[in-house]
Amino acid sequence: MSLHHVEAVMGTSISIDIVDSHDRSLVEELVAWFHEVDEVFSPYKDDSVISRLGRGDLAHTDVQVSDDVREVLQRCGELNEATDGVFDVWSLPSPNGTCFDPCGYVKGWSVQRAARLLEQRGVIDFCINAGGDVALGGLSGDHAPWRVGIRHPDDSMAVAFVLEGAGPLAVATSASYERGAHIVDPRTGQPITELASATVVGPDLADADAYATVLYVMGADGLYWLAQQPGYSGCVFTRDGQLITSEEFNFYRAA
Amino acid sequence: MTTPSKSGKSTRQTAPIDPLLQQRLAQLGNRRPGSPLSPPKNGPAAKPPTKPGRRAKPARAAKLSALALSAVTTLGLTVVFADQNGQTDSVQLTSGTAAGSLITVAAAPPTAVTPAAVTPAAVTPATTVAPAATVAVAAPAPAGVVDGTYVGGSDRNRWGTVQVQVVYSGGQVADVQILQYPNGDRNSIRISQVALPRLVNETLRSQSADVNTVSGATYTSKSYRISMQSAIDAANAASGISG
Repeated sequence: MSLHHVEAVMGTSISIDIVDSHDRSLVEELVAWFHEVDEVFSPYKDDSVISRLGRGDLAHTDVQVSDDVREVLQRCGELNEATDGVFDVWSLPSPNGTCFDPCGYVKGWSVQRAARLLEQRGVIDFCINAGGDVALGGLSGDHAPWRVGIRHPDDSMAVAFVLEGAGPLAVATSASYERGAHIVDPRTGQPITELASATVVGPDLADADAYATVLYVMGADGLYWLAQQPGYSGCVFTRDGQLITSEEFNFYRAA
Repeated sequence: MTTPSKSGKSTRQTAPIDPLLQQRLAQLGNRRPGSPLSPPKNGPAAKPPTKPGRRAKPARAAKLSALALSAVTTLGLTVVFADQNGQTDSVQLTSGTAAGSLITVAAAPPTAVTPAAVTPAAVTPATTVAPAATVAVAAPAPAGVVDGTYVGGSDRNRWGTVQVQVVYSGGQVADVQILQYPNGDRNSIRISQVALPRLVNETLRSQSADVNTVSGATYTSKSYRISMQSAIDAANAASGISG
């Protein structure tokens, strides 16, 4: 018997699968965590810590800023350095009217934290999918590797190909097929037009999610950059229908 | 940044290289790479939370562009072209890349693999952050549901009311019918016509999904899932299936 739950939270829906468990308190713990993240990090809520930081009502050194928020800010800063400004949560139009929107990091980060929480509770086999960003532990219910479909960029009903792997494993996809051109190049403010989608596989969803955004902004060239991040690999779909993958990425592709 | 020249990747099949591909490869090198090819540094502390108008450093970008171009000249590539008759030609070029990685280029016809969704990953329409409502998932029907039509509850969203009914046949979801959907203003009509048929397809096709989950957001709406779930709950309850 496995647990399965979907929670509408953080502007998306998060599905939680825990293999061979009856312990609903695990699900409740994760759900509570995601709602806490929503309260603190939502740019849609005027009184969230993130909105207050964005407006300058709070300084990041303020005592009201939790260690979690500091960790996110720290990592976003590191990613900004490491990508020469391609990843930049300080230059994005935010729903709260400021230009500070760390959502592109927070989603993957919060799911990775949830995955770590499950591991701490002794859970081995699980799958958490937050709006298409996936953190996997162990094996699927039939004791086989997890199979993760990569959505075809032109057809929301079709899976372009399938990745296979055992956890810990993260798969993140950045694309603009759902909400129009919602990813802009922070360096120019212009929407991304080269790629339809970018997918990154690696050990940690916080980084995989950020790297998928970076890869999407960099374009196909970004695969070179990605190949230098130990443990991570990826693929991109161009708007003209080509699939370009890094060599390591093919290791995960199911036959 | 180093450019290890890795050699010895042999040509799998020899076929002429498409001039378009060559052009594309050249473009690949000419485009701004916009990224450092050096490994990530452990940067300093977080940046102050407001920082409008950051821009790239042009000189650095130009330098990197040159580096990327040189990387492309030593690129290892596998190229697979698929024509409309499904025939494929494969070309592999030789030698190494800057990062020592092989790049595979393939035409990507939308293969009709089963879709999305053991777990439909939703994108809530441009609204604010989702409310606290818990939606148990529209899971594949458990065996043993009594055949029949089960009506879901209606759910209001900002565009109007959504209500579906689910038809079970042979213990499986055979059809999902939309009883109500928003049709107030022009915008709603457009949303309904595009989104709902897709959702119906997704539900039907998910039953044969051979994947555990899908990366890349798929189209669903919360109201649809709520109504759908209550129809499935009703079907289970009527069939004496719990949970």
